[in-house]
Amino acid sequence: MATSATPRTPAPIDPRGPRTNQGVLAVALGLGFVFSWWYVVPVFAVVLFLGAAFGPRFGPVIRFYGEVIRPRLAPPVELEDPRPPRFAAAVGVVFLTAATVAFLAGATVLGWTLALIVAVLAALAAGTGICVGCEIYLVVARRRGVELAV
Amino acid sequence: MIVRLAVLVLLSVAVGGASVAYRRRRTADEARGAFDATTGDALWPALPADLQGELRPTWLVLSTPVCASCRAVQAAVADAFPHHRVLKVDVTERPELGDRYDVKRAPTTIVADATGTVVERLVGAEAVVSFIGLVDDPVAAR
Repeated sequence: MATSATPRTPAPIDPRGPRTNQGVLAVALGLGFVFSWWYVVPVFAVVLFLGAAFGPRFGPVIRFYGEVIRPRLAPPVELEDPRPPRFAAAVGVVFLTAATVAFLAGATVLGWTLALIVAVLAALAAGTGICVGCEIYLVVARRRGVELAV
Repeated sequence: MIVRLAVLVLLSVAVGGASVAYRRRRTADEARGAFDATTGDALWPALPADLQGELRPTWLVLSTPVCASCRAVQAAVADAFPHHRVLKVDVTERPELGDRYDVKRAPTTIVADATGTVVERLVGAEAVVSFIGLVDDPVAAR
């Protein structure tokens, strides 16, 4: 069921956009953990949700990267399919939402455990490009025969 | 707060160390040409001379004595591409092939064109089945 609004293969994106998003996320969650700012967690749940639910153009950090940082950098060497990082962000949203619920219920240790799992995976993705959530997407996509843009 | 800072430092060191190690290995791999510079795909050495020949594409199914699905893979490939050559080689008899194509699982299937250049490396039986379904001619696909 392909429509013009949702093409079967979306336009590839600059992979440095999601990488920036992951880096900011890891740093923010790390600072929040050290200074006990638990509200960083729901704030970034919303940030990730916007990008994951509505596309990279609506993700605040990815948008910031695209409009402010990217024009100052050399063009990307390669582009990537936006769907794997988008799926990874959705996984992050689930974890951060669960963490928020844990904080509200008073389970602080559980909340930070969930948030730090996201922080470590985000830092790993930002630092190396090994994106665990993206790999999950790719395994599922391959099984279902989804064609990737890149 | 001190405890939390310590936890964060530990996590940062772990992730930072993993990142640096990964980058180093990747750079080293790239330096010896193990990856294609434009696509990032892994490059594999050509088929050894004794397995090349006959001027047609070759499928090298690397199996083990206990590999149940390897025979099925060989049959499926032969069925789908009757004009290709399909070889099944036991890596316990040719361990250098296991090293050459980094075989960790049987079957690992190497698809090479008529000149012996590797165009695809498929790990597992399912990968071969879905690859056969995806392409009309694996050698022309590249």
